[in-house]
Amino acid sequence: MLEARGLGCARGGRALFENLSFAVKAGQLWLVRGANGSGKTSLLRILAGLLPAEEGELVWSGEREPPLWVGHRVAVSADLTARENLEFMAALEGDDAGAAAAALEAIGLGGFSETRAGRLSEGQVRRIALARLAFSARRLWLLDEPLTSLDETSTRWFEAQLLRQIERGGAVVMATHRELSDSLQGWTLRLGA
Amino acid sequence: MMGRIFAAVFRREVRLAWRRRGQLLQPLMFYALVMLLFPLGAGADLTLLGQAAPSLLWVAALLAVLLAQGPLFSADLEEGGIELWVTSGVSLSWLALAKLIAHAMIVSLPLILISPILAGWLGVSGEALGVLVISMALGMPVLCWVGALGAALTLGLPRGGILLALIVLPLYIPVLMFGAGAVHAAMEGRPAGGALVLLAGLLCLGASLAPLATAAALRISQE
Repeated sequence: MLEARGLGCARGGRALFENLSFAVKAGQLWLVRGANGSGKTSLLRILAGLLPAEEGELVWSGEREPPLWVGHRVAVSADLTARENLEFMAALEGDDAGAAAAALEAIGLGGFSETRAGRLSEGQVRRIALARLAFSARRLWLLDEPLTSLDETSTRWFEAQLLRQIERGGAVVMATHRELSDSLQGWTLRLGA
Repeated sequence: MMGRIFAAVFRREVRLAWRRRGQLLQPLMFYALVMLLFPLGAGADLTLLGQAAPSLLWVAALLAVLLAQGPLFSADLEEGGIELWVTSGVSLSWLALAKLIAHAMIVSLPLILISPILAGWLGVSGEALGVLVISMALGMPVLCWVGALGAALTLGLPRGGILLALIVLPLYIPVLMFGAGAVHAAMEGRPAGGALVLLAGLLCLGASLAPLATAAALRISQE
């Protein structure tokens, strides 16, 4: 689906990683691991097209498709309700409002759909952003520390979404410090080693 | 599909503007206060007031628009909304166009609507009031779009506000000259059509170039 050839990235005059090559294929889960500041976020941003690759290149097999990106900043507006936020994200992907409402219900935010995101907890805000996973048809998911401040129930829901994405032939590249359940077998990319 | 996305962005902007209406009040208050205080400071010389009125109205409105530019993309940057746009696969210029049109309406409409009242206070009347409203309806969106481009270029910079003013003010000058010029002409009984047509030209230029330039600036802001 996506192949990285000799990727390199330097931030603030310091080389984070060099000559990094890997190929993400359909049905694969890639876990990017490494210490804080080892370049996990930069790597994901390069894959998402937010940062240009200073060295090396990204080769897409077939047409370049937009990935689903959930970054450290989750694109949830504090002044909009949970439902309005998710409906906007759905609209950008061409999905209708019904998908958004069902996804909120599934991630356990049904009772908060009319609450402004600014009044929700950090974990709940992250759940709004992750609810996109329930309806997104994007084949490549790029997730930067998606498990931050998630409770156990939501983590299990999230893992179920990952499994569904992989089983239907999508791919996931995610940076995380946490261990996933044993049912999820992934390839590990260790940065800064 | 593209139309629905346009509508979604537009709806989101209007909703956010309404929820953050305190932010909108600031430029409006600034505009009204300048126009209310100036006659008190200038004394009772009605001819002087009348002569200064067009430029004064336009300068104050222009600075009010400039006040509204700073926070335009800052929340989107902090919350990650711009990342969502850039990665969405939808043309960034199209998203920027929807945002810019909403922004121009939200900022300009209140200013345009109170202009006749404030102009009346300065002794502008008759046909000149109509020309004032038309010139503002044509010119204010251009000011908003140039300002939005400046806001996108200075996004994330510390003390970006000063830089924003430096980038934007030279580009505001033609709009100010044609806008105030049209009202001056109408007050003196000369035809104002020429200046208005030039403003309309600037409006077309702004509508076609601002989304492209803003999209490019937003993309750079992510690097």
